[in-house]
Amino acid sequence: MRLTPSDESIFLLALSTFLLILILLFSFLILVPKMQNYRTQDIKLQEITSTLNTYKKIKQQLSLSLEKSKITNQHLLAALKQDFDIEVFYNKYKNYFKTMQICKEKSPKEYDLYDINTILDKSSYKIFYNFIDSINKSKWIIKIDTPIRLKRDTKNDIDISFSIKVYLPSQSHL
Amino acid sequence: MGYSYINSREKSAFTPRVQMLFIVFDAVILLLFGMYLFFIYQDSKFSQQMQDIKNNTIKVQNDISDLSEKIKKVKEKELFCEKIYTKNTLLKDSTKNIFELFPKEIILSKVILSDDTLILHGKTPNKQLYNTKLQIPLHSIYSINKTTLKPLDNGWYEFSSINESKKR
Repeated sequence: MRLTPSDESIFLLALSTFLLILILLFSFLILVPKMQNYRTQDIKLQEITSTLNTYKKIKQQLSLSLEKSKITNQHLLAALKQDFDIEVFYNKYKNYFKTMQICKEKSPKEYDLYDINTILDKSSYKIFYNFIDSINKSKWIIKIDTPIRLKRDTKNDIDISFSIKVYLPSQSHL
Repeated sequence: MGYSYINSREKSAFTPRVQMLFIVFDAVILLLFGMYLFFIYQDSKFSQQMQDIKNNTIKVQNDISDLSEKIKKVKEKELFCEKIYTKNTLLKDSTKNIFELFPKEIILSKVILSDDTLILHGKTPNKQLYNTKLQIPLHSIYSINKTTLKPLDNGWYEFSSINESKKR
């Protein structure tokens, strides 16, 4: 028995072949490159996301470090922002001495210079140490400058004269 | 030869089998085209996401450099203040040392204390007391010592001592 394909079968075969070729061409020429591109971009996206996350962690650590540093140095940072008030200084420290005189001198840009002349009771010279300790805890950044001149006066008291350098926020020492 | 009186039925190219074939291929093509559209959409989405992440990274990098700069400034301020406080404390200790160094017998009239210099003026009952109780301790602190002793009418000596260290 000999089978002869009908016209319809031939048409179907031809159509199927044509559509199959069309699908294969579409898949290999368009879809596969797109898919590869998708994978490459996905890997790239993951990489840059990971980099961003690393930077975010660094930023977080630095923020914490800055906050910690600010809290630790709260007194210093506040002192560097504080304007110097000669009246407040005088009223605060005059009680350390028998007498105290303070006057402003010509100063360079970095700091304000004040000359201080004091008289201290001979028996209570240790108060001067307390004065220096108190200066270190004051609300300003003050450096006691040398030379310090100590002189015994006629009443056997000690005349102490020295200068102080007051570092102010407006001055560009930092 | 006989003739049929029935009309011939119209033949169409879209037979049920052809229609079935079209349905199957249509479904496949639709699926593939759907995938193609998905990839195109993802492509544009990736570009947008990448741009956002890049912008974000630049922003975070800038924030990091700002924070580093701020930390550096705080550290500088801390160092600056600590230096001042340390100098004040050292000065206090130096003053304390001087007051404690002097024997009660020696009377000081003037002291000038600098960072690396100490100038003393005063009176001592005798040279030996000055040399043993003041000169030796001063010599251990300062490398250069220049002392002059002048005798007074009451038998005491007036001294003037310049002491320098070579620290600088």
